[in-house]
Amino acid sequence: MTGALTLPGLSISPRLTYAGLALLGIAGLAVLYAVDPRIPGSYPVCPFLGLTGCYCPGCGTLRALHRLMHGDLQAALGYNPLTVLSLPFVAYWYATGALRAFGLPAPRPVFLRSRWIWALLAGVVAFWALRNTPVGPLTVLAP
Amino acid sequence: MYCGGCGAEREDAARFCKRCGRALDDPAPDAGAQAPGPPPHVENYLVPAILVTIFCCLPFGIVSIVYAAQVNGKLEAGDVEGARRTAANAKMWAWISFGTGLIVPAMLLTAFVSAL
Repeated sequence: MTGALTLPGLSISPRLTYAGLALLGIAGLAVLYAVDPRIPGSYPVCPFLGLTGCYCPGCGTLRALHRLMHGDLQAALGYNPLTVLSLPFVAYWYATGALRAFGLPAPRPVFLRSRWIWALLAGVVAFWALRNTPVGPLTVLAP
Repeated sequence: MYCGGCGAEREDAARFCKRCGRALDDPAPDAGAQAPGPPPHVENYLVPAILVTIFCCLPFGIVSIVYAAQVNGKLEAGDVEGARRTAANAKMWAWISFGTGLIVPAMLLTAFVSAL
């Protein structure tokens, strides 16, 4: 996010936004480290899964992050490869955005050609469909 | 107002661009003057879109990824104003999704308290 959240009567500066996101992230990860999402009932079920009975592209994210924080990369990839592969990009985006918000030198934002974003979209939709396909090797994509 | 170096929004009183660090003492060149060179940067909210996809358990993220692709597509076509308009929608959408996604940390907190 370029930062500032501006709604009528509400404005949050980029610095506050990035600081708030960090606090929220750290608090969330701390809970996730301590409370094992593999135990049913630890967390509410995904609303999409609850409503439709189908996995969404994000199903397994909590379990993946939990296992990753406990050093089990293979299990994390098994729960949600999309989540694990996204993490370096999320970290880079957050770090450079925060540096800019605090007026520190940061690399120029990377421009991704639109065809690659459409390809990413196609990949996410394919992943979504395939992880709901209970056929042979595809079951490996289910969380 | 926008920074003449990278195209990020700028406060009128700011002396440096928060995005690229360019000194803003001289007035930002107008759109016609910046025709040569690479198009200015317009944030497309792709990473928040991905975060929404993997966290919010709702297909909101898909819409956000479409917005991000449209922003960059318009930039490639030289339509900077169109890209900014789409980016404004993308930004609003990212925050709406994020607000919806806040339900998840709220639930985490509930889970934590009940686990104590």
